[in-house]
Amino acid sequence: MQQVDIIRHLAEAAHKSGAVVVSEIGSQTQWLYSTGDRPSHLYLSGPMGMAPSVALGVALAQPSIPVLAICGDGALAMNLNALATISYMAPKNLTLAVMDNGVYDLTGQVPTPSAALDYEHLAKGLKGLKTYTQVDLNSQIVFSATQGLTLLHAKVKKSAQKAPPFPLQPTHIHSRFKDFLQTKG
Amino acid sequence: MPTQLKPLTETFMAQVRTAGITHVTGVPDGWLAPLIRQLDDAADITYVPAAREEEALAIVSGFAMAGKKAMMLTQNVGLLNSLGCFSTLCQNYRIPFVLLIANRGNLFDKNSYDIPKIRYMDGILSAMNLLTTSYYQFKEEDNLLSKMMDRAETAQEPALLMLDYPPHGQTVQ
Repeated sequence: MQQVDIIRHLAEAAHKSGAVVVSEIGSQTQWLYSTGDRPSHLYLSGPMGMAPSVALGVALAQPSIPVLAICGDGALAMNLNALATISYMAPKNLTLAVMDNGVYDLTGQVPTPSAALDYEHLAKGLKGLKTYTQVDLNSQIVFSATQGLTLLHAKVKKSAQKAPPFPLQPTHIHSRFKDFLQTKG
Repeated sequence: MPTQLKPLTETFMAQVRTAGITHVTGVPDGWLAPLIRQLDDAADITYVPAAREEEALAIVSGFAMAGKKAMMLTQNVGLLNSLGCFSTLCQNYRIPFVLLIANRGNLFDKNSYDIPKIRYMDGILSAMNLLTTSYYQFKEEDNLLSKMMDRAETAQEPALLMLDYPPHGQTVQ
C-alpha cells in the first residue's frame, strides 16, 4: 500500500465526516495536498512530530468537530511523549493515523527508530485510547466527534516517487483554517 | 523600607477570565505551580499538562489556530528547549497567544543552576528580536493579561510575559 493511497482514503473519509485534518511536515503534508486541497486541512511545515499535539489543541478547542492527525512514524517517534498527554486528555473527537514505512520518506528514506515499536502494544498502554485499528484501503472509515480517542495504524511502503512540491504559505494555511472553523461554527 | 510586591496569585484567575483566555497548556516550574493549580481547578478553563515544552507550543498553537484565546506557561529554559518549534511553528504561522515565562535565575533565585538560564535567555531574546514585557514592571496593572492578549492578536505573534519574581508575593529589601 502506497502512503498516498491511504492518505487519499483517509482524507475522503474525513471530508465526508466533516472532520478537519492536521498533517505532519514532510510526506504527509505533501501527499495530502496532492490528493486535493481543502480549507479544512491544517498542513504543518515544522518542526517534525508536532502534528498530534497541534491536533490535540484543535480537538480540545472544537469538541464538536472530528479531528484527524496524519502522522509519520519517524515524526511520531520524535514526539512520542505526546501520546501520554493525548491519552491523559483523551478527547473523544481525535483520531491519530500513523503512516508506518520505517523510513524518513523525504529525507533519503533513511531508517526511523520506530521499527522497534509495536503500535498495538503501545496502544494497550494508553489508558485514554478507545480504539486501535490497523487500516488499509478496504477499511470503512468514519470519523465522529463522539467516537472516542482512536489510533489508526497504516503499514505503507516506501514511496516509489517523491511527493510533489507543496506551494502554500503558513500564514495562508493558518488564516484559511481559522476562517473555515468560524464558518463551520 | 521593605516593599511587599503584589502577588500575581491573587489576581491571576480574574486576569485570565478578563482576557477571555479559555485554553491553557504548559510545563511546570516552582513559581508557576500555584498558578497551574488554579487553572487546573477552574471548570471554565481547559488546562493541558504537557510532557515537554515543545509539545506545549504545538498544543497552544492548535488552540489558537482553532480560534481560541490561549496561553502557555513555561520556565525560561523550557523555551530554550523549544526554539525550533517556536520559530518554525509559532512564528512562521504567526500564531497569537500569551506565553507566560518564569524567568528563573534573576536576583530572587539563590540556586546557582538557575543563573545560566537567564544568561542565555537574555542572549536568545535579543538575537531573535523578541519583544517581552516584564511582569515586575507592570505588577500594579490588574488587566495585564488582557493587554498581552491584545498585543498578541495585534502583532499576530506570541506575546512574551516575563514573570520575574515569585508570583506568591515576596518582601523585597
